[in-house]
Amino acid sequence: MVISTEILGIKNALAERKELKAKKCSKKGKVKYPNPAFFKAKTNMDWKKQADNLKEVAGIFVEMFKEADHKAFWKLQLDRTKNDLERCALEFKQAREMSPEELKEVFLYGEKTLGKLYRKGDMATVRREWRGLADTAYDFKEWLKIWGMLLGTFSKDLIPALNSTFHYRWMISYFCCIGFLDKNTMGQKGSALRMSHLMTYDIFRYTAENLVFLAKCDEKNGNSHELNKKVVLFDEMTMGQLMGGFPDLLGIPYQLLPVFLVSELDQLTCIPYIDAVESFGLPADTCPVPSSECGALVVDALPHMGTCFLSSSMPCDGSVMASSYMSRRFPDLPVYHLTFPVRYEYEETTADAVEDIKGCIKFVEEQTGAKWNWDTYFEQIKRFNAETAYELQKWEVNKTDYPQIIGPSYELFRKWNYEMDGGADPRIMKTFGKVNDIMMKAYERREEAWVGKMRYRGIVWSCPAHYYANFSNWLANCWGVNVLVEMESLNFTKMLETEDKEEAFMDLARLYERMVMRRHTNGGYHNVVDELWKQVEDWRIDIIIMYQHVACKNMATLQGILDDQARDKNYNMIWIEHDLMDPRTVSRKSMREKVNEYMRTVMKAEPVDATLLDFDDELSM
Amino acid sequence: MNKILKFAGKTVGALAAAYAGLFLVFYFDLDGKLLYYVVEPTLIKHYDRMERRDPLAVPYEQIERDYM
Repeated sequence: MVISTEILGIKNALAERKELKAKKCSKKGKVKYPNPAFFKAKTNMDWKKQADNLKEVAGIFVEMFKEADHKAFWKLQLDRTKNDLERCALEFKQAREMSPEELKEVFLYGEKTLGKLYRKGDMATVRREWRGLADTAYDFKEWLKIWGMLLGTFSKDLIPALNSTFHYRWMISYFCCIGFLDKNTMGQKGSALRMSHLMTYDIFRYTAENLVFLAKCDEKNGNSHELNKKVVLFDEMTMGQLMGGFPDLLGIPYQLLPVFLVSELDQLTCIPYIDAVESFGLPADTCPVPSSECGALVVDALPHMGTCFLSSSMPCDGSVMASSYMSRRFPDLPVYHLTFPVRYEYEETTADAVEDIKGCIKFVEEQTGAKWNWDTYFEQIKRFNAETAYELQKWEVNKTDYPQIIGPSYELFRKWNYEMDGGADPRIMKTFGKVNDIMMKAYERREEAWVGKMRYRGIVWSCPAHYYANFSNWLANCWGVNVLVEMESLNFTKMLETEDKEEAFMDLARLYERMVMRRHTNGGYHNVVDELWKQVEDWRIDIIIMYQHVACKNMATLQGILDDQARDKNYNMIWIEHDLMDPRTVSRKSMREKVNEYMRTVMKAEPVDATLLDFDDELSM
Repeated sequence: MNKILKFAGKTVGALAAAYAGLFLVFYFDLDGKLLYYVVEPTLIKHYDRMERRDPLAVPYEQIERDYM
């Protein structure tokens, strides 16, 4: 009795000290993010079910081992090893044929041809790129760091996270995320490589932390009632600024991890979802975003969690469709539909959007018992404004003759850690600062972002292909086309109000109405056609990479107009068809072929790296 | 003293070996190969077999609320 009282006393004292420490940190502005209590929330796992699941996995391992054609398996491994050795011998021979100066150049500054890293029918690359002594050592260090971060984050609640791997097909794609990093940084060296690593680290950390939360909350896994009470789900295309006013709640973009973000990591992820929903009669020419979201529901690939769901009409009616479907499939999850006016340039519609935001806040308060907090909202928005300033600085540098921050890592970081995160995570500010320092120093030294590959200034317009998120990397490495900016980044850059409450709502509405993709593809002719020509002039663009998302009805209406006007203005515009999340309609190889043809026939250009003209990556992630 | 030097030597040797081993894993993408060729095919077989909740069995209705 005495002992238990003493233990209780110690426990209370420790809790008080912790609380005091947290308050002190909070006063100094050093708030831990995400709230450590979210990771520590108690889970209510059905151990028997999880054990059955594990038993099944173990059974499959044994069965596979018994059923496997071991002879064929080892023959394949032997063939691969032989092929690897032949490649090593060939590379060794090539090295011997080099002059000492050439050899020194490769050793110190890296290899020049990258197509040899791919092998037909393989999912993984043959080996990683040799970037030169210093940059390979740096790449290796960052590889270790990312594996450490991923393992450390999953260890914050390992069992639900592991169980998630045995439940959800999409989880395995995240395990292969380092391969995605390699593809995004291929050919990069020096400052460009360092900036890409910094940004990718944050993307992966954001992903890993949210994966742990999904696993903890999911009814099938962690089933944490304690955490679920604090979780507000919102549509993957809704930015997170709104959650700034609810500091005690955890906002999670619901379909982001099982569908949207993972489709950028792994081109094959969404195929089972699309097939599932199309087998129920959905036409195959529907946009793969809502198709995949609905398909994920059909195959039960979404965790069952949270107190409520905020759906939205962002960026287009596709989201409305998927949200309605979702609310019917999880009838126990209350849904609020945020439907902002599309005609956002008419200021009188902003008041309607504000009413919608107020309704949404009321809904969250009723569902969770939390209260809207203006102080924390303004604090987050101040951070978001500072991030916007950094973003504008990047644009200024990229507009010069010495653009510094280009490539897929920048595009993805902007989307996930700046716009979608909306200033929630204070750690992102540090990354912005570090990247800015590296960028400015590189600019002062007049460095080339892609060494020896800076031939054309490019812009990407319209919705990009998710299954080829590193397309801009290939453009630079193969043809020297450097994508300086893309349509999706040219959104609302006005500094948001941080004092007047009513005006703050107005600004938030304006921001949401002009969010990623919505501003252009749903804004009508002026915002997507005239705007393109304006940007082409501003950024002094040589080549327009014009994506044609074959299932986007909005953009399809403007194709002929864009084509005619580009011809009249004598701009180089390459139309590249794709089906957003379905690589079977237009493969990555077909996308590359469009560029190859244009560059050969119209530009009469020679490739920077001919080994990248034609290679097979249909099976790789 | 000798013992300390020996221990330090062994530690440095072990660290160097670990570093070299990890570098080989990194350079030849052995982590990717393990995940792509062993872990993924096994788990895919498991995912294909799993019994899953049938969301289509849930009544198709929407709850109407007014928060405006």
